[in-house]
Amino acid sequence: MKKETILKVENLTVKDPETKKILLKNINFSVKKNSIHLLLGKNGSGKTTLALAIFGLKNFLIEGKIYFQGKLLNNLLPEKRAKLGLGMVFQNLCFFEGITLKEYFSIFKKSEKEILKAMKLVGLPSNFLERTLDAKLSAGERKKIEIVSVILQKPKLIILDEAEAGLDLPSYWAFLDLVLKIKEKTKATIIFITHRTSAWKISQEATLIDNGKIIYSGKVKEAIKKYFELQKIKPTCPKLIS
Amino acid sequence: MKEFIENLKKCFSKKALPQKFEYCFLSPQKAFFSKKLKLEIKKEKDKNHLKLIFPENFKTQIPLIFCFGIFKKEGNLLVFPEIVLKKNSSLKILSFCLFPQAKKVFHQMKGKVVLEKNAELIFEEKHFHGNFSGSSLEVSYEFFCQENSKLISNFSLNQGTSGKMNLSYGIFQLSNSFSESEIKVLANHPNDQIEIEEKVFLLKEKSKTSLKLRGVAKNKGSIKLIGEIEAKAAFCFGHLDCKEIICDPDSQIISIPKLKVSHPLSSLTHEASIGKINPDQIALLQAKGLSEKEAIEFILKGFLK
Repeated sequence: MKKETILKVENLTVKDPETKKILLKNINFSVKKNSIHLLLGKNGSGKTTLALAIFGLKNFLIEGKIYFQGKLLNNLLPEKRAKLGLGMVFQNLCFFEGITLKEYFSIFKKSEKEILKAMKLVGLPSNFLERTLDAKLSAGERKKIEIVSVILQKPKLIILDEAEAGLDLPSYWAFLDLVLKIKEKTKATIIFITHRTSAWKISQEATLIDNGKIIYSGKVKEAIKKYFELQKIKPTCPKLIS
Repeated sequence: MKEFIENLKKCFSKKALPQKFEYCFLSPQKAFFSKKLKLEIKKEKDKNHLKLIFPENFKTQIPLIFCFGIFKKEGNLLVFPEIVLKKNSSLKILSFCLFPQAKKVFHQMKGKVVLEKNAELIFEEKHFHGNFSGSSLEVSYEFFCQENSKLISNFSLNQGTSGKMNLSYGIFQLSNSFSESEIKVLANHPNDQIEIEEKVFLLKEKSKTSLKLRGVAKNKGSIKLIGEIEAKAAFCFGHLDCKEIICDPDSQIISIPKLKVSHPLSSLTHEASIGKINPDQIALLQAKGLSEKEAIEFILKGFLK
């Protein structure tokens, strides 16, 4: 494995644990250290499944190998992978009745000063610490809470699984700025899962996935070009792929 | 248990908490009981009658604390409290019930609480029954809420084992009164059998209520929850929210929500669910470094808090 590679996935096939249906087939790609790696694909293409498989979640049946910083992850429990330096902001964020933010962030054993600093970075007021993680929170607030938790976790590799979903356009651009801030703050590599191609602006490499298979992995522009071809649509920003 | 006692000691002065007590009635501030406040404690054989009458306009930020318990393995404790809050009075009551070593303990609590016009009461009851599932409880309360009164009631048994427990709450409300009640219980042992019945009667116009019932059954424990609201007058509103989590195939939960409306200008709503813990919640916490077991404990702790 090359020195600058933080994550390497080799011949990965993922099956549903109950139906045995193949969800991902023969996936090969790698992520360079300190990069923002765009993982592109339309809805249902297998992006989230790939993220969950990297983390060892959902009890998927796995063939192939996943290396993180040269260490084989396959036989490690998800919490061990988290302790090794994997972090994730999930697409589907659930609520926790009765748990305050203060209790939620206490998982990471950080000082209140550090917690408040991270909250300030994403624009959450300090009085939110006493709020409970219930459905009274807006989707945007809930997402910000997850971003705070990933900042506190200080992972070496963060998977952002459509963390920008549901944001309006100005909030989306603000979110891209926030991703850069997170990267600066945590010094982490980021896998940015999305189906919005405008994230190319902050990305250094990209992988395109469709129907459970890797279509392309490498340069961002080439990945986006293939993404448009795949969807048979003309790009709205022609200069980008010229 | 140690932690629980330590927490309890923080509520009382050290002198006030006896090391061995069969039954006690405590308040942290001697000054709490003014001359105007009527307090009667009567003991008839093994029955303890308490009568508390709070005068008109009685208001305090200091909570009144009851502490009932049997620290021996066996015993009976029968308590019959009667509490009256006169017009415009306002009070918070914290009631602790402790049976830490219970192997053959019987506890009966039959209470009557009257909130007169504009009175406000926060009533919190917390139970700890030890780890032997050896207590048998019959707890029943009747709350009478007169015009414009407000009742907030919380009952929790969220650690250790419950043993056999029958809990019955009846809330009777007049015009413009408001009640909010939350009951949270854990059945955590094959001998734990919890039966809860909470009924609210919105008898007069513009009375409102919100009932929240939460239960967790694990280690072959069983829970039956009946939540009922009846609206008999115009412009009444009520909401019933029942959620239960079942942790293993040998445990059991029965949840029965009942709504009855007798006036076309009133409305009652309810939401109910019984199920296992959402696997997405567990996955999210695992990604933060918690094991599956730790994640489940974390979720249940919040659910029953």
